[in-house]
Amino acid sequence: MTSPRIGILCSRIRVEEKLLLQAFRARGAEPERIDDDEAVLEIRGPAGAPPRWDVVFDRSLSQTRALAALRVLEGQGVPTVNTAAVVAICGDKLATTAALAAHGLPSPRTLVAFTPDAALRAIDQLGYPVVIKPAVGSWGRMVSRLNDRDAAEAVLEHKRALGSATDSVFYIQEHIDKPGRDIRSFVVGGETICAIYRESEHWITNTARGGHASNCPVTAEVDRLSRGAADAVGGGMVAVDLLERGDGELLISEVNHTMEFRNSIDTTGVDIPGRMAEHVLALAQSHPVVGAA
Amino acid sequence: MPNAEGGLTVAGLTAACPECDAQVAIGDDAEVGEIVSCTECGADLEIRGLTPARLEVAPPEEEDWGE
Repeated sequence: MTSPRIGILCSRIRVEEKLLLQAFRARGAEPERIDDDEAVLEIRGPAGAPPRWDVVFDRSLSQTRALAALRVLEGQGVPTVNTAAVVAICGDKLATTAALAAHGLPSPRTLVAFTPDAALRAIDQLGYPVVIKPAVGSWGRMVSRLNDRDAAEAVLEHKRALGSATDSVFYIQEHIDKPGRDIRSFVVGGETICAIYRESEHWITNTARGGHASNCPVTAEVDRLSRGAADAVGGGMVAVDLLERGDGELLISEVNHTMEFRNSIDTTGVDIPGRMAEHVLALAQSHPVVGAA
Repeated sequence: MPNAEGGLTVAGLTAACPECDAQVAIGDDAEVGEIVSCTECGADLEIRGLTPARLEVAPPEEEDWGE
């Protein structure tokens, strides 16, 4: 059997990508790097020619580039993970929350408004404090907690004056008074493989922002919500952020499509890059390319 | 050769820092596209080649970067 032709779309080789490349090599596969700085992709390939890859694995840092490249590759008939559809939903908090709602999954109460006046009315409905987030963004950038009306007016005015049209889609969420931590679970191919607590004295608990990781047992509820969230955004490999209310109820906050896991391998004892590589290899083998030699 | 900590890097690749021209050690398991820091000036550098080793100043974080 010939070894699978795996493309890995990436911008930079971070710790995660290095571990993934090592995991593929340990399994006898050498992925071909598709550097998104260098790539030139033709939307329609030569007629009758088989796709160049059995699967392309997206690890691009840039959501914009990832979405564009995945759409081109899918147009050529290349199987992808995660798919463009998953990236489009996960890359947009509003789309994610809507997909979770459509699947009957719990998330913090969220209101959407399009003008500062309407946004202030939305905030009054929720009651202070509230959290306002850009629909597109990651690593906790531009996520703001508004404790009172003065702060709300200031942030809304700044967004309106300084932002683009998409910054005037105000995504306003109830603030969950979580116990100094949230939960990040990892779902690979429909299975919750492990979870961590992210603890921080700051209300933003992203490990990219200095949050500390410790192991979190995958309870039945963590598993149900994690798999449900992954399914709601279209499957694949995702990291799910869960918030705990004071009464213990779990809510799904975000779903991440290019998961970072460097702090979670030793913490959980789970070989996350190994599990991811195996999932990609299984996909490559389950998609025999028509016309391939 | 001596590195900034006064230790030695053994038979490792080095390349000139494009910011301050110091010699930056590159590990044996380095990959093109990896980010290293210059031990002299602290600049974030991207490995753009291994044979020969070549470094460029890493691009700054973009608005749409993330997970």
